[in-house]
Amino acid sequence: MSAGRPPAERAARLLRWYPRPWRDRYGAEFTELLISDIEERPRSVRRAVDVARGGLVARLTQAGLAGCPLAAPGRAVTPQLRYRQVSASLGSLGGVLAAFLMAGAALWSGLVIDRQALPPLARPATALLATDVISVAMLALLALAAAAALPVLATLAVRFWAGGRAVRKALRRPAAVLLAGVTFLFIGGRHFENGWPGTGGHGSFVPAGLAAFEWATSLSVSAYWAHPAGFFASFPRPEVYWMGTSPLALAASVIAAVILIRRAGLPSRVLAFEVRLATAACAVMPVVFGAAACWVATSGGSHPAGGLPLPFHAGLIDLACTALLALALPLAAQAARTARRELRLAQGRA
Amino acid sequence: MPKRERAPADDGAGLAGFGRYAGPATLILSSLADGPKHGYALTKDVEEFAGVRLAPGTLYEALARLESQGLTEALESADRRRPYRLTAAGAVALQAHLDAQRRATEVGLRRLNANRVTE
Repeated sequence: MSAGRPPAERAARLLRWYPRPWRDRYGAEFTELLISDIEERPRSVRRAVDVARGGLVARLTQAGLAGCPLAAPGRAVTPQLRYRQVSASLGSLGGVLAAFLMAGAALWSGLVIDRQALPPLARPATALLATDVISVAMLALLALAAAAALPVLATLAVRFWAGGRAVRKALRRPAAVLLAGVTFLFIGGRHFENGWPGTGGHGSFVPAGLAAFEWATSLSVSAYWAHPAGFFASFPRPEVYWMGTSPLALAASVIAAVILIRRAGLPSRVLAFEVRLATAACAVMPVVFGAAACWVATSGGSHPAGGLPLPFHAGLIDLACTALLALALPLAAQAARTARRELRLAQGRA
Repeated sequence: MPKRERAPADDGAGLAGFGRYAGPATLILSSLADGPKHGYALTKDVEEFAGVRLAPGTLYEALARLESQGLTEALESADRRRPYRLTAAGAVALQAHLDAQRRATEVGLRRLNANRVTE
């Protein structure tokens, strides 16, 4: 096995756990240490686990979720490097928030549709309360996301038109992917929102157009994926294509947006503003999760024998969405915490 | 009621934010207090004076943090083994951290000895 390979080769394999910027900075010296360690102790599970864990931490650091920014050898960490780390943290938080909003929108759509299916007196109080709380919190998150996007877009526009050729080259491709992805989602969402079951009054204070669009863009979050035969039989072919491609478009858009945030070189004042919004978003996200978890935990009554699920019954897809919401909370909190710490250090307020 | 002894707050601000890396960081700074060393020499020195073998990943995580906080700095090197040295800020942070540890150690030993006498 690997214990028979030359130490240099084994060290090089272990080094692959680390991201490229870390390897560029520490790779050569770390490899030398690994070679010496391997020569001294040819077999060591502890070393392999330790290096894998260290590599994971380095990757989390690169994503702005842990640790400190890397400095050049013999140089201190400059405020610019710390601001870059703040951008990385905010980019990761944006990605987490997008996944959170997608799962939240899917849950919310289901609740609102179920509310229409029952007469007012038959609606369970917990589910009604959860729907209203999630509605308010989701609207707040969307407002925060919109407020966060505006200064980033303005900075990108300035960088793109006033920046040099290198800046434009770095921004061009992710900007094109983001534009294409958002356009696709917008056109597709507007088209498929016509099938929104809430048309004609969905009984919620979320504006009807926004509710329908949210429902259409989260159509892909469906339990039908687990039953391919039922999936293809239940939906018209264009809707099947939409459900297959919209998550890809969303993922591409989010990745492009994260790259743009990292490359935009946002000014410190914009970063400070974004960090405040990130903190506010982290305060609102648990409200969505709490309401969803309350509903899932109390949804109780399920399928009548051999029939369709009762309204407000939480199925597996709702459980999965709630689990995703729960997973997003610590990630978002960690990203916001890292962003706040690095911003404080960059501004000399350690 | 026995008199409660309160140790002064840890003023080792330089290592206060290191969390789980405070242990490896203290060992590394203590080793570098003796002069610059590269990764492998650090590992051997720490093993010799503390009986702890720092695994490579842990060593470099702590080194990267120390370097980013300005407590150590990398030196130029002709070969691939880059040595590190303690900075002035690193010496201050190490001194403060070790003083705080010594105070805690003294309190612990004094209480242990007092209980032995009582028994």
